[in-house]
Amino acid sequence: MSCKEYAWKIGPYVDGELPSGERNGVEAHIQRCEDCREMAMSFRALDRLAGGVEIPSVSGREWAAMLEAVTASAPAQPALRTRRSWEWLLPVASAAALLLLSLFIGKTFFEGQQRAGGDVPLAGQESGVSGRSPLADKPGPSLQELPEEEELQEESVVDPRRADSRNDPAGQGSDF
Amino acid sequence: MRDASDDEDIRKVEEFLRGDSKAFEFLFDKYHDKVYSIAYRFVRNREDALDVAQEVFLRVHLGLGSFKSGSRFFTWLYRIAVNRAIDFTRRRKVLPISGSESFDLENWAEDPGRRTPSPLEVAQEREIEERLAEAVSRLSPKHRAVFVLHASENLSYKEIAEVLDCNIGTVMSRLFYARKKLQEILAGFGFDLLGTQKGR
Ligand SMILES: [Zn+2]
Repeated sequence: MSCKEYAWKIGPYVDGELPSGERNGVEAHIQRCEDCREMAMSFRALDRLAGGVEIPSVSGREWAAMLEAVTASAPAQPALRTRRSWEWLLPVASAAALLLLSLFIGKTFFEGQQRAGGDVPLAGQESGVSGRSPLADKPGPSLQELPEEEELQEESVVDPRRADSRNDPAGQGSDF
Repeated sequence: MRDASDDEDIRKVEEFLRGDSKAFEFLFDKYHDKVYSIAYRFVRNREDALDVAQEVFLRVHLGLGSFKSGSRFFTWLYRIAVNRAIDFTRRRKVLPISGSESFDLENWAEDPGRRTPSPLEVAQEREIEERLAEAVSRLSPKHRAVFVLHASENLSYKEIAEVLDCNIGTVMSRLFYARKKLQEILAGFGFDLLGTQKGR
């Protein structure tokens, strides 16, 4: 077996994840091959260093405040920082707001165009019902982010081979 | 495959769904550090990590009814945590903040030589840890997720596969490339992992 074939097994070997039947072979190779030995050592070093990265502490009071905010679960009362804590809670409200806004912009634009010839390139002009495109130019952050986050995560982290078998907690963040 | 801790979690989920709010408190207390830690490995900023953690628990609080008790609670929870953290870093990326500015809080300096001098060994160790954190943040989300769950959170390949809903082969492959990429990035920073290790 070549180094290239062993290379795949070095991580699992270091991590203790290699089936016992394969362990001895990898071990023997590592003994005599400097490159593979160095790879194993640097993988170990990486893990050790990653484990050592310090995490700033959080006080009991802060956790208590968070728990209180969470269990209140009302969009209006997050304790720590409101910005990202509640925006996801309002998909329906956001959709409604988008629809209203798009209708409003579409209407405003349409009226403006009737009055002045209207050179503002609003997408609402093309479709008053898409709900998203009218915000393309100047989106409010929470309105814009909601639809995009699902798409982005699908693309990055779902293993497509397994996408159908996932335990999807009704959109509660499990976008893998 | 499930151990006593997993069974206990499932019991608490059931109790919560029957209206016992203390059961949620139990799960919160048991896992807040882990969720915060995962978030922090991604966002590398205390306040942002707390933000992410709160968002995760809000989702859990509202979404426990949809948790399928055939799976383990912590893998479901970690999945939400990783997802929210990745989402956060993506959103931050599109904000008009420069990369270095967003990391200023922890002083993850581009030039570690400017940091306050301290005993050499400690400084070297801290420096490379910081550089590693910086390097991890440069990985793609899926490689970062696997590396963080493995190296920082000590999950097994099987557990990582559960969290990320992929197979173990995918975990192995992503971890391999994550490590190679990290070596490469650190080498670019002028760090030789083995040199550092030998020099300790
Ligand atoms: Zn070799």
